[in-house]
Amino acid sequence: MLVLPALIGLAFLVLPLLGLLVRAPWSTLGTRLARPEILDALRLSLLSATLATLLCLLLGVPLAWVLARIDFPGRRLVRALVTVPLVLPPVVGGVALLLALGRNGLVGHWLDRWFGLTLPFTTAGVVLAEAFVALPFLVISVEGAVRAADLRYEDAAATLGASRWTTFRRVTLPLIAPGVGAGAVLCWARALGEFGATITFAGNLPGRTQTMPLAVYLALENDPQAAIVLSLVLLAVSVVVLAGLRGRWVS
Amino acid sequence: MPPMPRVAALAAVALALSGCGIASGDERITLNVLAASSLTEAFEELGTAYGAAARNVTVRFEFAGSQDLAMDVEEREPADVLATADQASMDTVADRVTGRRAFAYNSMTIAVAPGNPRHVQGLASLADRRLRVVLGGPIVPVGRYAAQVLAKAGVVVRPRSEEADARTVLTRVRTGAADAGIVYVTDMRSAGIAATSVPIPAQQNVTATYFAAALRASAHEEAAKDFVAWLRSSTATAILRKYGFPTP
Repeated sequence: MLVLPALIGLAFLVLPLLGLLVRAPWSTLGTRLARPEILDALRLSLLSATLATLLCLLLGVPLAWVLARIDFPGRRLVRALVTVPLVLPPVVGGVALLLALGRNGLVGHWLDRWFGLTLPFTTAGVVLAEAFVALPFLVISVEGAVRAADLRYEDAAATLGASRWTTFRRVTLPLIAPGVGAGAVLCWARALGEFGATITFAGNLPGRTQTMPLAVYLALENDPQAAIVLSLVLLAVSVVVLAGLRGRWVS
Repeated sequence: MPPMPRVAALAAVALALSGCGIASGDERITLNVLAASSLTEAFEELGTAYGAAARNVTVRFEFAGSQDLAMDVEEREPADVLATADQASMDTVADRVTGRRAFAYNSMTIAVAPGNPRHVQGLASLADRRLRVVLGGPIVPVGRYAAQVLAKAGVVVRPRSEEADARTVLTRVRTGAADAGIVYVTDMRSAGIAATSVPIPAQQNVTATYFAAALRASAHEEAAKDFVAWLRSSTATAILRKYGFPTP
């Protein structure tokens, strides 16, 4: 009774990937991958996803720690707010970013006026858009790790005179390192695949804001073969990420 | 149930009953029309008018960049009519369409913020690196036309972003993200007071030609051809002109 729908479900997930592999221009793969516009998109994607992940680590680990360890009124609301980008359509995220950080946005308006700083159409804008959608992945993963960490180690450190910061740095952080690592990898993978928020907020310019997913989308229209090659690269990265996370997040 | 024989019979009935080129069978037909994004407002009104003229036909639109639409025809969309903003997009699917014809023209203009605060005088102003200019991408009709216009004027522009369709270029200007963009003259109508237009003189401008065609894969090929033919009728041209499109 359950096997048939299960098989259909599996086929549904695997078939599109198979299509990608079957229609891939294997013979010209090397030369296509070496084309400057593809290398540009790849370089920009790796750079912006890595920067976005660093930003997420910087902001997300403390946020996760606060959510897990400090009991404050409205904690559940804060946790819900943190997960909003997870369920929000990324394009909506991009529009929201424009309204907040765009040139006429709530904050962006002042950034432009005081510092002459505008984020749309810049690589920094790409990093922000990616961090916005990827941050929840890191926070959820790290918060779980902090909760699972035995509180008594921290208590012991505190009774031995360690400050809260020392305890966090020397005791908590090593305890939760695997969780942080898994969260960072997941966050990086999500940032690498980001499309909607990026094209809406940061625009599309080769070498500056055109990441791999944007290049896939635009290449599909005049050079489908190039789009398939780019898709293969993204697929390969996803598989590597999943393999690396085996037994952590997946199981 | 194989749909083809029934559809063929229906088309035959529709043909027999129609004297003036508009199908009028008993069964309702929904025509799916893929249209260039610059046609949005005009085609929505055209759809209503056509529904009134051909009572058994409902027209449904999907608007996007012409190159996107051509790809839809290639890859997935079970549509009936394709209307593109240029000939090149139509050419890419030439073997899949039938009865193609030009039905409207357009030209380009520079969209700037209301009141033109950056004092854009014309195409030459767009070369200023301090000005944030956004264009359509090189494979999008609005981007190709912009490139032609700039080449005619001998102006080199480094755009901040290359957008996927005409309306997105205008949106960048409307929201203030960009200072200027090259868009269709007719697009300015949709922007209302949210943007100002700096005209491009005729000798630097280009004429964009809109093509419509029925899709061979359509289940309602005759009804689709009727709709394409109707785009040249006096009712249709009046609506197109109302939205600023010169017609053949």
